Amino acid sequence: MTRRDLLLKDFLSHPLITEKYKISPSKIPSSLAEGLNSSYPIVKSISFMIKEIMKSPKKSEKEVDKLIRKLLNESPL
Amino acid sequence: MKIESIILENFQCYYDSNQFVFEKGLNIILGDNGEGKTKFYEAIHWLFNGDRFNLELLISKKKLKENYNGDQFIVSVAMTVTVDNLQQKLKKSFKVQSSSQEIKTQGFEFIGISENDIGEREKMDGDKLLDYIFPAQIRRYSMFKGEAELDIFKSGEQALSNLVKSFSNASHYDEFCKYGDYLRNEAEKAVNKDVKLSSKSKRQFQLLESAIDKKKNELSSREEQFKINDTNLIKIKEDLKEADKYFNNAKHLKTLKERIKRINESISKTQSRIVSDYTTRIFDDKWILMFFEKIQKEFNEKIKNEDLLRRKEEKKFNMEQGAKELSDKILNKITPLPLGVPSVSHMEEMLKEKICKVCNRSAEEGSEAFTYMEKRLEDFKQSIKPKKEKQREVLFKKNYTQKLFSLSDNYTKRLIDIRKIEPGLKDVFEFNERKNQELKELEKSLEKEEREIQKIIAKSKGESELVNIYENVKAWNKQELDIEKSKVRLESEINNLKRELKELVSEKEGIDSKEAKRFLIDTRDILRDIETIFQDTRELKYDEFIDLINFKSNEIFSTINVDDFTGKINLKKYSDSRGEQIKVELLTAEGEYENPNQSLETTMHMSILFAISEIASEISSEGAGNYPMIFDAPTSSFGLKKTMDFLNLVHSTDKQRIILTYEFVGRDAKGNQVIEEEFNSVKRSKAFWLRRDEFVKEDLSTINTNVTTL
Repeated sequence: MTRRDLLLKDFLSHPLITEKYKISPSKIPSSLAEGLNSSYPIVKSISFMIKEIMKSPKKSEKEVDKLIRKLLNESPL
Repeated sequence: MKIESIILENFQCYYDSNQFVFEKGLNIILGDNGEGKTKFYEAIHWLFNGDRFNLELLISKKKLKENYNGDQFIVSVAMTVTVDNLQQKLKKSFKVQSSSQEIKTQGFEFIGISENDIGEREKMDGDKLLDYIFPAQIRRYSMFKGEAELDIFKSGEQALSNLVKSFSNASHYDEFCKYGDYLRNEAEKAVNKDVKLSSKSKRQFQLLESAIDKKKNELSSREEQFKINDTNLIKIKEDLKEADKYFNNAKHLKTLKERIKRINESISKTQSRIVSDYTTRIFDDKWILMFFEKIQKEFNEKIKNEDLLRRKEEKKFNMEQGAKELSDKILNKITPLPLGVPSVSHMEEMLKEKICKVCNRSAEEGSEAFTYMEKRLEDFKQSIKPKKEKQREVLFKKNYTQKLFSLSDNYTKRLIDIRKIEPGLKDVFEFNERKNQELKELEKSLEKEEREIQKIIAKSKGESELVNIYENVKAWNKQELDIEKSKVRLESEINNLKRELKELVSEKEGIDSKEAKRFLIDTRDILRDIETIFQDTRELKYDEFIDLINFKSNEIFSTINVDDFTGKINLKKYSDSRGEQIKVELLTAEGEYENPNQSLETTMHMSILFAISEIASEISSEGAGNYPMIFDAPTSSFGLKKTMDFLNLVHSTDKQRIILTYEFVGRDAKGNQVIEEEFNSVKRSKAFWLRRDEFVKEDLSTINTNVTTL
């Protein structure tokens, strides 16, 4: 498990994921690659943010904002 | 990372080249006070942090004296370390040229020599290499001087985040929080912008937005004030806790000082009452009169005798004078009638009638009888006329005897006072003796009280600090109460503002959901949730990290204090105006242990440091993970037995630690320094002994520390 996978795991362990977004534990991805392909916008957004923030050189806040909006715009919420 | 060796060359008391070759594990450097331990520590500190300023202070005085002819020499500190079995060298140095007029320092440099995987060595900037092999954030948790520095959380700016940044992956979460905040904020702005475009609720929305901003500003200001109060309160509580350790001593000191003041007042009063002008009193005023009575008596006798003689002489003289006068007046040895007998009218009648009616005879004019009567009449008339008294002849023209009598009478009167002189002086001597005795007693009490003060000062802080503590505690207590009150007030205001803000936000969101595009609302909501997830995860990770330090610290703590009371270390997170902080508490079954003794406090802080060091080793992905730690006199309050236990524990961790201590250095019967037998029971990888050559007091150029590997 890479550091990015661990980060995703930590974030997706938050109660909001299961309680508010009703994502069952079996649907929670175990790797970043899985997360990036998730059908849940919140999972996909977090995964994208991990990918972009942990990248070297990392993207700026503005760039990440653009990416996420685009992603959310394209995903059915 | 392992420190292989350190070479000090002409650095302060280290004359010429002095090499320390270290081992993995515990390295102990022994040395009595003043033998060069701290200079060794300062040399490493200079290697890591020193700049080109004040270099002349670092030069060995002995070397300097030897080179007054202008020869150049080098002052340097060099360290060789291995990281992943590759050798890395750091050397900081400068050149010195001195003459009797001046000391010139030049050529300051900090160089690094780094070995790569294929064994090639490359010269590079010392700072860069140092940061690579021993990063600054790790160094700040690796070198400690004395016991006070061991409390790394005391009044530290951003203490928690610094610690997390250095030793935990939790620092990644800070970055996510930053992005989360930005994205959520942008999403909020997008919703607001969209609502503002709608003409229906524009006015109401603007009013709400402005009210929300106002409330937010008020809330933020109150929260800031609350944090400042909190920071101040913590500071005051810390000060009070610190003061509490010494308060009884401070109070005792105050009582003693008051007693001393009273004793000094009594001393000065007693001294002022002691009659010390004996010379004046005895010789000038009184003592000379002690024998006066005898002289006075003799004087009196003499006057009496003289007076008697005088009176006799006078009587004799007067008698002679009287007889002479009388004989002149006596005619025919017959006593004449007194003047005025017969009377003037009878005399005039007899002269007119020329007859003496006394003897009944005629007295013709010119006759003897007539002449006699005329003379008698004339004598009488003369006698009744006011006339200048004839100066009677006297034997003694001046009455000295009378003067002497009056002088003697005066002295006799004064004898009453004079007779009091002797007992008076005796009284004075006795009084003085009593008062001197009292003085001695008072001085004894003063000495006793002063000794007591010295004891108190030795047990605690300096005298002025203790006085300050006593004065400050009252003020701090008042401030503490004021701040507590202010916090309660602010808390209530903050809660009200939050409630009001929530209502406003809820009202605004009602408009948002009606007026803004669904997509924007959903994006905002999801980004709000993402921010919450990031923040909560960060909190969780920070808490896990603190739990880990707590766990490891307590493991080490109980091992160090195996035979003693330990309690439980508890690192508690809190936030104040400086940022997130960590408070270290020692918990007992009854709650927080307010005033642990110095030794317990030191082991507590050491345990935390060792725990951090272990964590640093575990999380490090590079081979440098095992960082050495260097402590100068960390166990001053321990005593020999506890120091031994502590060193044995450190040795068992198998991590490289360099510990400088004055323990185990004693003196033999001749006063020579020796290593005490107890040191044989201390497990260690390597030990050194620092000793100075014989030196001349006040001549720094004779000071030189010798390094012996034991």
